[in-house]
Amino acid sequence: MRYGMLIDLNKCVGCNACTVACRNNNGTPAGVSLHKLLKYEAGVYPNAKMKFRPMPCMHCQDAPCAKVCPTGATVQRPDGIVDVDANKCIGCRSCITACPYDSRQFIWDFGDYYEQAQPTRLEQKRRLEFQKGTVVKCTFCLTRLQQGKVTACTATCPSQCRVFGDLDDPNSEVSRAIVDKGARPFREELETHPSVYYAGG
Amino acid sequence: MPLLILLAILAVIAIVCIFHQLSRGFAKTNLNDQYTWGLYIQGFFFLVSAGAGALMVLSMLTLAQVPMPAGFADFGNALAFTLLIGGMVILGLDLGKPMRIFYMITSKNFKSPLIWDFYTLGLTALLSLLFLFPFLSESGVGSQVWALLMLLAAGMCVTVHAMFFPAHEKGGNQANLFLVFDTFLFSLSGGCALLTLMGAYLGLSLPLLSRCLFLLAILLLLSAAGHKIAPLRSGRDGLLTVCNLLKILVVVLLAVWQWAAPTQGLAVAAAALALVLLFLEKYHTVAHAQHEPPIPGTYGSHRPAATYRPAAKEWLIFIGGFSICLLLWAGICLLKGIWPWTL
Repeated sequence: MRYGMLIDLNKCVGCNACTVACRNNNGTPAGVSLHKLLKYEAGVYPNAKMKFRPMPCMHCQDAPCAKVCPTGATVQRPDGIVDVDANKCIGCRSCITACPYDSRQFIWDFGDYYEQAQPTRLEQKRRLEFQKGTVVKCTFCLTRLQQGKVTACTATCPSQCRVFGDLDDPNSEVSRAIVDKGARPFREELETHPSVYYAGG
Repeated sequence: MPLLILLAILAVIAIVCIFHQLSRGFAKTNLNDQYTWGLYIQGFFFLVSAGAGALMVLSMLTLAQVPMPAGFADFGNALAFTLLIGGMVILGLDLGKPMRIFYMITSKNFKSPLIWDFYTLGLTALLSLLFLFPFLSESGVGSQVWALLMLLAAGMCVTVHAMFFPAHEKGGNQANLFLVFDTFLFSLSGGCALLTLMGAYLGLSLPLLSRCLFLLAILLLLSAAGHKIAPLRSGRDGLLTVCNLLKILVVVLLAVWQWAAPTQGLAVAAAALALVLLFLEKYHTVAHAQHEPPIPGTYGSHRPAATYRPAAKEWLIFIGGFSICLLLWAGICLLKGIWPWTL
């Protein structure tokens, strides 16, 4: 069993719903985003266009972040998910410098979503799940997976550009989609063997 | 005495800032998501590089049985020890959760450069601490064994630092030989410069160290040439240019000292510049590694450019930390009874 994801960039409309769903599901504090959407320009005027690349953690098989973690707080689970134990993280930020995908974030401080306003009760409650001075990252929505659901970003995508599933099963929807669409990992030349594949773009 | 008072004031300010940092976290620093390592890491690398460099120089002098002025090794070792401790404290401050550092002992993840840093720095500091006790004389078999172990530990400690920086060029932390060589040379030159300055402060003339610094500075010019040739992209790197000019200035000053005017003032000026150069090199290396975003620019064209200017608190802790090191050095020398002046 190895969880993985396919993102079809030809279908992505850059609406950022995945980022919002991720924040909602994980209750991340203001300024912390476990999922990013890169915007970039392709081509030159008059044939230029805006493109988007959703960036969850790549859950690399040879995860550089796990290699450099001095305390063993970052581990790779048997199902391929790279997870961080916040209670063991010393906040050295070695993993942030080692990650070539910019997938990790350090909680410098707990900011507020709205200036001049106190955090809501829900925000205060969800904030307890995070520790200031530690590193956080996407975990493919572990709690949702344990409930038999797919990740929040996959579930919410309005253009259904994501397929989530087991990469080890050649007959799974995600494996077949990767083959059919000729999907490749982003920056695969780094040889970190990501579990997230991109088609088109 | 006025110098000690100034150092004490700076140390008190730094201690207040340290407590503020420990209680409030990174809130008042200018570190951010793109510059996750800032002045603390730069200061850590500077202090450890200078301290370990001084210890390597002392080890080599001990191994080669070069006659040194009486007590010089004691003074030098005490100063290096305080710099290592200062480096550790600053590194501890840079951790989000410094109280959990014991997890580094239990994890045994020897693929992590930070683990190697932890152990080699710990071993170097421990060996340095051993030398502070009277059972190790400045000559004899014990000191030879100590010098050999110290050379290995301090050399390893400095070399490990070359592994942290080229991270974004390829996933993970890799070192390259060029960078290791450069880091090693900078540390040795910093060590020579530190011991020269200390010698001058104690009223000792140490021409051998200045000659070593001269040779090291010439070798450092090799890396200056490399830095000029290697980058593919056009554009100027102001700080690197300053570093390269400083290297040339150190070589010129020491060449004048060697062949034209062998006055101690020139050697001291060159040593002071070499220490400034060491700090600028660490500053540049850490900043340069983070200047470019990890994701290629094409994909991050709509992200704001990364900027970092150390906050006042960071500077106060760094400068105050250096003052604490010097005060600690004076304290150790007083305890050992080798402090040459009355207070």
